[in-house]
Amino acid sequence: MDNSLLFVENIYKSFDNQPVLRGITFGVSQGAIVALLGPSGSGKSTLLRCIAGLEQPDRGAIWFDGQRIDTVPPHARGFGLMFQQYALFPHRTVAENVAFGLRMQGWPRDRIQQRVAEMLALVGLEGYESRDVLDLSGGEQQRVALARSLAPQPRLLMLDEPLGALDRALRDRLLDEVRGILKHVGVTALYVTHDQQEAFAVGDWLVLLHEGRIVQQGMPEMVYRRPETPFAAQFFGIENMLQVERYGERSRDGVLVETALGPLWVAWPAEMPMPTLPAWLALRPEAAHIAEHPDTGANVVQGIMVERSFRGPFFHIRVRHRSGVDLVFDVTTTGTDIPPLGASVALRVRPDGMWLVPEVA
Amino acid sequence: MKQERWGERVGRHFLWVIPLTYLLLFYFYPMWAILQTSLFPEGHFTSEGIVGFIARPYLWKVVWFTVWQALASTGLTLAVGLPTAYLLARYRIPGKSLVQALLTVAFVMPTVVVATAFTALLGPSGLVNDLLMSLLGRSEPVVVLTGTIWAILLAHVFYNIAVVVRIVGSLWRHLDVQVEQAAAVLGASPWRLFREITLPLLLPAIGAASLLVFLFSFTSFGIVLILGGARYSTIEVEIYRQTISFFNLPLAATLSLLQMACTFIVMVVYTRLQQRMSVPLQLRRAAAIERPLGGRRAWVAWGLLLAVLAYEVAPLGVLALRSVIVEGNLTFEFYRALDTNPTRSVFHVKPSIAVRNSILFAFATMVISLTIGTFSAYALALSAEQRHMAWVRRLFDPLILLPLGTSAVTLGFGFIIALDEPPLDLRTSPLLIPIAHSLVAFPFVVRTILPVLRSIDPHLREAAATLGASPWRIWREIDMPIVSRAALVGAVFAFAISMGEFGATALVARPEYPTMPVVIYRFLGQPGQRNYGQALAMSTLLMLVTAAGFLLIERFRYRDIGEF
Repeated sequence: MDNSLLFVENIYKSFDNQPVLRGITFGVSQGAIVALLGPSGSGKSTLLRCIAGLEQPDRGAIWFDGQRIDTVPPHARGFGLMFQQYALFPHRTVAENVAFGLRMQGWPRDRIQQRVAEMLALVGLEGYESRDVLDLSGGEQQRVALARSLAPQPRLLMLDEPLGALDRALRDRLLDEVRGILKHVGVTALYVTHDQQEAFAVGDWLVLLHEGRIVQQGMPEMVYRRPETPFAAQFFGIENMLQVERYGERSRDGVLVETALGPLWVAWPAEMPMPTLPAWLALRPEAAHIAEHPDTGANVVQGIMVERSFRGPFFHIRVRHRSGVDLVFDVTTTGTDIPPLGASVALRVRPDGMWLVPEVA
Repeated sequence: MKQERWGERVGRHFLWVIPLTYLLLFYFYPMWAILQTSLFPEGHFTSEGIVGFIARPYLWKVVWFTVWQALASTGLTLAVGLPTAYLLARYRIPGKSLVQALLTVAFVMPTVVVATAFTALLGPSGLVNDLLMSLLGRSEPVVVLTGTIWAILLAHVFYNIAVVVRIVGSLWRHLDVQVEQAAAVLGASPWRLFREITLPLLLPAIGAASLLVFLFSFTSFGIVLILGGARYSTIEVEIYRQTISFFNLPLAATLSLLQMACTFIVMVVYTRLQQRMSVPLQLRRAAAIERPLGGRRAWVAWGLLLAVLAYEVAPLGVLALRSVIVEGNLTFEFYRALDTNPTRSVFHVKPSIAVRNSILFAFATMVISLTIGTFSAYALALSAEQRHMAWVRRLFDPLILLPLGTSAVTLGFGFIIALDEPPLDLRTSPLLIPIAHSLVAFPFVVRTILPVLRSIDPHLREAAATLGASPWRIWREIDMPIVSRAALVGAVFAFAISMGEFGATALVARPEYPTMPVVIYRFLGQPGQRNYGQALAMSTLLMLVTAAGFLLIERFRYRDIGEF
């Protein structure tokens, strides 16, 4: 056990003999926001519910602040949980919803009132006290739910897809706001989401789950730049995965990698061992740009433009290499013109836009 | 290694042990006694009851009459109810909620009250005959409908329009008009549109409503007993007559078995249909569909609506009027008479005692039904949530339906043959009546509470738990406030059902504890204007109590919970 505030140790959980969690171990340090990322069915919500005490793990232990808590009933854990559909109490007003946890803790009435006003101000809903929760918009309900779970000063706040029920535009706007509020309060938080952008934006630390196991964890940027499994790479939106044929010469900060595209220089830290074959070369979508002088320099890939769609800040293009491999990139619209469909294209791939992924971790 | 707290497990089993014990004692045991009396009267099997049944052509006539009058009632009710449902569902009509309230008031009226009201309207000395006699200058009644099939059918339709309007209308109101508009754009004429789009979509609702109307008419007791006179008898009435008049218990038991089989089959089909109805179509907000009523059609529509209204209001209005107007003068003589006990009276007690009895029984019924009903609803809701409890639900769900599918007279008959000897000798206990009534009423309580209980998002309880609420606190803070309105509605339902219940009461009520419907029935059986007047007065009182209960229900009804 490390010095984490929350430590989840080898948790297993099955429903109807269907394993959902298969040996989960990770820690959360004081004040950190940890994003639990995974596709639906990866077990992230179940993991959250186990930590909240709403489900009993079949095996394993959960430690909090040095105490084992997995037999403590949910109401005695002092955690907060924000549900995806908010689960606001429909028969109570906004203020009564926010005050609920405080009443459970036996706060005196005037302090409850003060705290409720404080929390509503924090989430930008001043004066909403006596509103009916059913009359609120989705975004407002989300804020009330956040205020309600933060009000009793939980030792750990869990958020289960808190923005999942909102439309894209509202989601983007609230994302930074939620992170701002969590950081302002300084609460230790576990944030469950299936959206990698959300996980990147909100988490100090990212835990990637797949089929009930942790696939990878680390700082969001590092996890994105250095996926450790093909699943992780694909989940982060990397479509260009090329079978590595062999490694070529190794330099201080890179390695020459042979794939169907020919040799490419890939940035690789000297202290890191090369993954053993079979392995994949992952080319991130932002790793390439149109080569102005294709005849000079390395890492140029030639092909035919077969798809090209304008997306505002970038063009989403598909280029067919003569080996038959399709490559998909997002190339910036500033700078060189984007060749038309059917034209031949020369792309230059940045060495640090690629990563080697072992077939089996 | 699932750790379930011991208390929780006991609590959960407790939930269904209580209603189960109650059903075993007061439902299955009496039903078993009926089976025994019919097939094993001397402890061994005998076909006497069945042979005796088959050998009497008279009984075949009873069965045939029961079936065809129920079919005729259903057909007539649909003929009046469907157009009414359509108008109320699709048009913006002022006073719509009043119309719907009146229909439902009619539906919840006790059978004895409605039967008495129809005698006051259509009987030999009823309002219609009074008017016709003075118009035509005749001294003999012109058309006497009481004692004919027409009075029975009219009363059945009077009751059941509400069933059709509520069940079919509520679906019709929310059908997606865009589907119909799509069909119209594709070239469907109004008639084809109705036949190919609307009707198929409404069919499950029409089926369910028809079955319910059929069931109510099939098991009709008070209406047929009072309005049909000696000439007509349904299975239900025949069970009563064989028991009370001829004391032929094996035959009554055989009839009860037949009645149980028939009603149960109808109930099963109804439940199936209802489940199909709950498969959600794309439903729309009602306000978006309503159109204003205008043009030539408006006259037809208003004519129909007013006729239906008059039909629903006239009998009850005449009942109230006739109870206070004698030969053109306003008098409360009949009401005063209820509080006297003349020596020649047919009762041992003042009729007004029956009012007190009825209210006490109704309170007792309310408490029992609410207790059993709430436990049952929780047992059903919890077993649905937990997959390993699914078998409880599979077992328990139909068990709760059974009493609903059992006619009141059958129930009363089972009581008097089962609960009259040790170990359960309740023959002389006044508790017998509320227990019988609660068997009729508690399924309604379950049906009112269960949908609300199921509608509580389980996340609400979990949210409360993570905010620090203990299980008991969760129940008090989340379940209680949400369920209490439904429970209140269920309670008033139980109260009203008990006040008006006649079928079971007619068999189990002791002379020393008469209820209001029993007293009304006895008054109707006595000659003389004074007795009839007292029947009118007592019926009017019962009508007012029932209507008041209904208004209470409407006030507390939470969204659209609990259809019949």
